[in-house]
Amino acid sequence: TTRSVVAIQDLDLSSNVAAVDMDDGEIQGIGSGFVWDRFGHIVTNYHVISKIAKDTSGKKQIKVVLLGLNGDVDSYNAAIIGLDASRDLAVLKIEVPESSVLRPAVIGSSKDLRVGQNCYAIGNPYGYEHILTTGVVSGLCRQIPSPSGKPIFGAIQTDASINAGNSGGPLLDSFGRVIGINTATFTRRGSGTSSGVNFAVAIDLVRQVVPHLIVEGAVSSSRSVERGVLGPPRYLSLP
Amino acid sequence: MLIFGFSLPTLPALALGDSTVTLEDVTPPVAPRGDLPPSEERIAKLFENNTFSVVNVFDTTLKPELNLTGSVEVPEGNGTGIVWDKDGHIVTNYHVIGSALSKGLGKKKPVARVSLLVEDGVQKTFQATLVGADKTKDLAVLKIDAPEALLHPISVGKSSNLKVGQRCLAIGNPFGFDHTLTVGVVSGLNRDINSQTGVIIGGGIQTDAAINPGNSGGPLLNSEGKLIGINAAIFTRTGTSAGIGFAIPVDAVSRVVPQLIKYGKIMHAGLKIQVAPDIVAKQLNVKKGSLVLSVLPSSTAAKAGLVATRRGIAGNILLGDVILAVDNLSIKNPPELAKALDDHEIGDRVVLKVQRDDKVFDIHVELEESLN
Repeated sequence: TTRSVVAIQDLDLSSNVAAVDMDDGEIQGIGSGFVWDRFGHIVTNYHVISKIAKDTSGKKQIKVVLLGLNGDVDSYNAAIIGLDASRDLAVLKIEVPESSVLRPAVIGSSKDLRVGQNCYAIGNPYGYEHILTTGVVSGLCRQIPSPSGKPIFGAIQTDASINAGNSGGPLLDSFGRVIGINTATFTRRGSGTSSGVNFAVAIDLVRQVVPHLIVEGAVSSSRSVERGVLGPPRYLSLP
Repeated sequence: MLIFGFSLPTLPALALGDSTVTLEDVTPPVAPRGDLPPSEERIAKLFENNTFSVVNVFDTTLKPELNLTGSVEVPEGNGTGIVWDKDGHIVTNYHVIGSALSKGLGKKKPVARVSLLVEDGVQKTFQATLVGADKTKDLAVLKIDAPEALLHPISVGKSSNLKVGQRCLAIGNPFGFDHTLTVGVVSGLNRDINSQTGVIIGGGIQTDAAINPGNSGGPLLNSEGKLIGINAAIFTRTGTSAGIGFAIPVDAVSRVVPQLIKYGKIMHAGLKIQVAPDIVAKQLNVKKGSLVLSVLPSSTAAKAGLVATRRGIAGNILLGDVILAVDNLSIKNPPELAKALDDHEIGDRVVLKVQRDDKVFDIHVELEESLN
């Protein structure tokens, strides 16, 4: 799985330079993502790249960093293919010299998940150093807010820590299959610290939405609210 | 270019610029999985078997509020409870229904709403009346009128043989997310819990299973699914879990709950005396120990010769005895005295180390029911 999990970085180009020179930019790791297919599509959370997505200055470039065949760390420019703020999903695309460089993640299913089974949240915030937090599935079918304000249904709750580093990266089961995308952690009124109550968007939903984002490039409603972590609203898990 | 509905798979892939790519091409297959490994299967089964014994408790005097985005905000009176028996008794923390208790709703009006899990995801709510509560142990017993078929009493274990490092599971309702499972280990034993009711509860079990507001009153289970504690408090600087949670040991719960069910209260071992609170003691220049303010005339303490604070002929204050230790355990303040005495049974004889004026000596006294 290590080669399937990528870093998503925001390259801020200096404002006075006309020609793009990599060294003049300021790179900020902003989250993780994972390789979806051999075409070079990368899946992550909308909120990980929403700032860049809304930037109109043309001075920001998303870079995707992944582990290559020989253990090299390669960085690629990424284009935004599709966004869905209502499900907090985004699809990027990178151009690679040959498709064997890409190792698509093994996709699982979220419908047969059981509370109590182990899960592993992986991130790769810098591109070369994977971070792993572990825990169990704490609850299922939770409702969490999305950046658009509409709720996301069917979210997986876990006590594995989810933070800025692994946000957008995959949540795996013990079989190494992706069962969700690490999306949010519950914090009390913006204290910013994790509470052991964390959420991932379920893979079944991702698997329905991402192909449409790729093929149709749908962009969600323009009403967007920045939500990297869950704020004050607390949701009852309604039957 | 006009974009039609979602359902046409041969729609040009605008973003890819490659019109031959179809939805199927970019939909990866779902990899199958085998059975869960035995240890995971065990925990999943433990949760499935025991989650029906865990209930939501909503204090009726607290109202949920709707905030601007239209989602329901659930206040802290939401906690967890445990089904104790087939009579419908529910055990939870005193502080979970603290608001209702402080309003003195008493035995007639329902103090809380309790939601039982009927099937996966379906909950049935019942009004709960108060059977008994004890602030010093932060425990309360409620009763609901539910059909026996819906009541799944918890399996009670023991806390006397717990080992640091053994696995434990917590089921509760943190932040309103009902029937949440968190897993951790026993991190420490015999901890002093600073309960929300303002008392110190001894013998607490410390765990790193994530415990948050809303988990209060819920069970801490061992890896056999037996109750080993009731989650009551957390140590935190942020108000949410920092990996340090505390549970009241089940051996204490097993002693307290039957008394609460039978008598509505607990008989605490102690002395029929009143001691000075910290502020008063400081003003009277008593820095260590517990200053006796008054002694009930017919009490065992009076018979043992314990002297209370009184006024002298000139109107000045004559300090009473200051209790410095109980059975050689030194006492720094009133809560420690209460806890030290409460660890005994009514009828036990203890030795108090007492300071009177300049002299320090021992007084032997028999414990009776304490004044509350």
